[in-house]
Amino acid sequence: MNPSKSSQPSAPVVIARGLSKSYPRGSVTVAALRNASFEVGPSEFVAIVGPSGSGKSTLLNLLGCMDAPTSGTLQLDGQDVSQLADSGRTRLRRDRLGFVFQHFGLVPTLSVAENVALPAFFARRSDPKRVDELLERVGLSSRRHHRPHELSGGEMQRAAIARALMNRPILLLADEPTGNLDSQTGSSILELFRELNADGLTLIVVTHNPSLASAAGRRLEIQDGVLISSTPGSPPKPHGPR
Amino acid sequence: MCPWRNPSADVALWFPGSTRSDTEVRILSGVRPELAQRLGRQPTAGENALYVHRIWRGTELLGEVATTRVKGESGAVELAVAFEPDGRVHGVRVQRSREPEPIANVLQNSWLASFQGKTATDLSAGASTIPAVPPEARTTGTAIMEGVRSLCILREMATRPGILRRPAPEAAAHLH
Amino acid sequence: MLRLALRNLLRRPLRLALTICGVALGTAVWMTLAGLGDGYRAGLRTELDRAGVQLMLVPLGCPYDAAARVLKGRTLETSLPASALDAVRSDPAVAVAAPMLIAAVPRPEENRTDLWVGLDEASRHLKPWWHMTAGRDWFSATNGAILGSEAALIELRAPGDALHSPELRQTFRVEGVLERSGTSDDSLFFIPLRTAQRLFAQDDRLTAIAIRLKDPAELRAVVQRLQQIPGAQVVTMTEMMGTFLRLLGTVRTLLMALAIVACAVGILGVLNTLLAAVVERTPELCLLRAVGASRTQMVFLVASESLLLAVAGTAAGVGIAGVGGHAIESLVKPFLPLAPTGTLLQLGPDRMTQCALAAVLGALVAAAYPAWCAARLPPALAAKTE
Repeated sequence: MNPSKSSQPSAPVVIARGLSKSYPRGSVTVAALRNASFEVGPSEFVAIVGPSGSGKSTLLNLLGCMDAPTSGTLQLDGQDVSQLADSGRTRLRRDRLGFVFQHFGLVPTLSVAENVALPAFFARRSDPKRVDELLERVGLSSRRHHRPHELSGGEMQRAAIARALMNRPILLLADEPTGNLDSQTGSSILELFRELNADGLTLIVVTHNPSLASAAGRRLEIQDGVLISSTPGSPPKPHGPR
Repeated sequence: MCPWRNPSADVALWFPGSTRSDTEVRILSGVRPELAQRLGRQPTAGENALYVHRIWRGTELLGEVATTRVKGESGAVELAVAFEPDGRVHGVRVQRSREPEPIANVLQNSWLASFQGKTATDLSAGASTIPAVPPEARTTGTAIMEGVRSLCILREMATRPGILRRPAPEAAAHLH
Repeated sequence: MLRLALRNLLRRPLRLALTICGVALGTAVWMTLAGLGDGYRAGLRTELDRAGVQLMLVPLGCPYDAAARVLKGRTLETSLPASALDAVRSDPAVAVAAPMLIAAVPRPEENRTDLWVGLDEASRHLKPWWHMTAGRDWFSATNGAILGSEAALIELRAPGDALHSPELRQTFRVEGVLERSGTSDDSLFFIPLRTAQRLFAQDDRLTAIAIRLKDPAELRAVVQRLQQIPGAQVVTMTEMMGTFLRLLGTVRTLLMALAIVACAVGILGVLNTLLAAVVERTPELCLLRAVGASRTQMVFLVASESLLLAVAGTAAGVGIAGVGGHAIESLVKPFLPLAPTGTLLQLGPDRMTQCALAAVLGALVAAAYPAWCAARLPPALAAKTE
């Protein structure tokens, strides 16, 4: 599993400079994120922590190209994405990024395998071998034909992780991935993240879960839209099959 | 299928005191070989089913009426034939005909009354049981006799067990 | 994409069924009314063509009513003098002038009326399409009669049989029986003109004169000349066709308004279903956007759902039109002027293709707004909603 299509092995996967996002609320403009600057290196495991409403999800949305910054620049894998149009951001989300959500986000009418294959489907590709490989990896081979409502919470999140990995992303973004899971299941998801990171995948996780946050090599702490601390990250891990 | 032109008058004449009527279709296509044998000819397409108008007083069956169209000398002759519950002819009426007046007069009620009490077997004996008519009325008279005989046979076959019965699609006129 | 769309639709079977019913009804109404219009136009043209005439001379009164009655074998309250026939025949541009006398004999005990049509030899030239199932194709004696197929069936007559009319006190000899034509001729009794005039005490009177010209280009001049005949007026078949089609046009406009309402209801039904589906599935659609669905793909997804609804609805609508169209025809037919005999409903492949294309177009129209809404959903909502 080769994580990255990055040009330089040691070049940061994420470079944010003065990243800000504000939303108009009636006549007032609310600054959700202010002047955030940081970098995330290849194969880093970064946790974004902070109280509710501090701007964690806003930052994640910007990093995931689901939203455009109001000001500042953001480079993903060496490409400036801050000025990209919707189509460019869509392509980037589809081909270079993977997402895991708190509520799993599986399509209820599709089977597990079909859910996993969705990113490839939108890229107009069909790669059943990759689907098999990912289901094997997350331990859901026997559940491939099941519908999401037939799975446990942990299984649903595993399926969502498999889907996030479908198009071989350079960066996996997770928003409270263990928020809807009991602690034991949450631990198994954490373990899976560790394995993925050990295989060289860059991970950025928004979490309130102390175990998950402490498992990360680096923590970015946000308060009131401002990045207040960034504990030093662990050195980039060697790339390996993902 | 020949319509029953004047059910109210016919019922009042033949079955006074009746309280209601209904119509059944009896499917005879399953007994065509036997029907052909008894009729002495191939049944027509119309004879695959017999419309039987049943006349009731409460739950008591007073009799039945069936209709047929026969080929008279000068045009079609439509007959309404009433049956006793045991299958004997109760009455015959010419519903319409194009026969010239002299012939129509011969084939009037007095001659038609001679059919009363007859069965298919009686009518198979032909002229011996029904009074003869003048030569000019013979063709139509014979056609009427054959029509009544055919109806007797059809009705007899239609009362057998196993014959499919269903209510007529155009539900029969309820007289009372 | 279609499979995904189909599965989305199947989530709400009742709503799906109701929407398909709406589309089906709209399609069925549209197809039936359009099919009836086609059939009416074709039937009318056939009847008029079969009449084999370009002009008809009728007594004064409403000319179209008179001509229509004559074409349908119905009687007129007024008649033409026989001298009108001489005047018509003396016109050099007239190839054939076929007089006819139509008389009705009511038979109240049978709930019907016998229609007797007196024809002379000239009519043979105007009815080249007459085919006999049996017997001769013209009268050999003054008491000869030719029966329409239905008349022969009811009277159980065949060539050689006698046919008596108690009302006229006259016995005819059946000379021929016409093949079924699907026109009003099927139920008529044809007899020689002179016999009809004598029996109905209409000596030297005519109901109408059917006229064929040597050269149809002379129509206008002939009409002007024939209009001079006292007590008579001329109707051209083109005028008649035009008048009936104009009448039909009015009826059609009303019916089409109904059909448009039915189709609009169908389209609004689809729009409502799609819009509700988009609103209900907002989190899911945002998620699809988040995992890489482009705006175009979102539009295709919603349009596919709409097309599936349209295809299912159209198929059901064609079925309903096939089964129920004849019921609608029987309701509408009494209100049509000079409604041709036989079935009017024509559901040809052209009409079906047109309908299918209209359904596709309707589906795309219905899908436009919901698709636009779906395409504009922000992917960022995927993280916020459950």
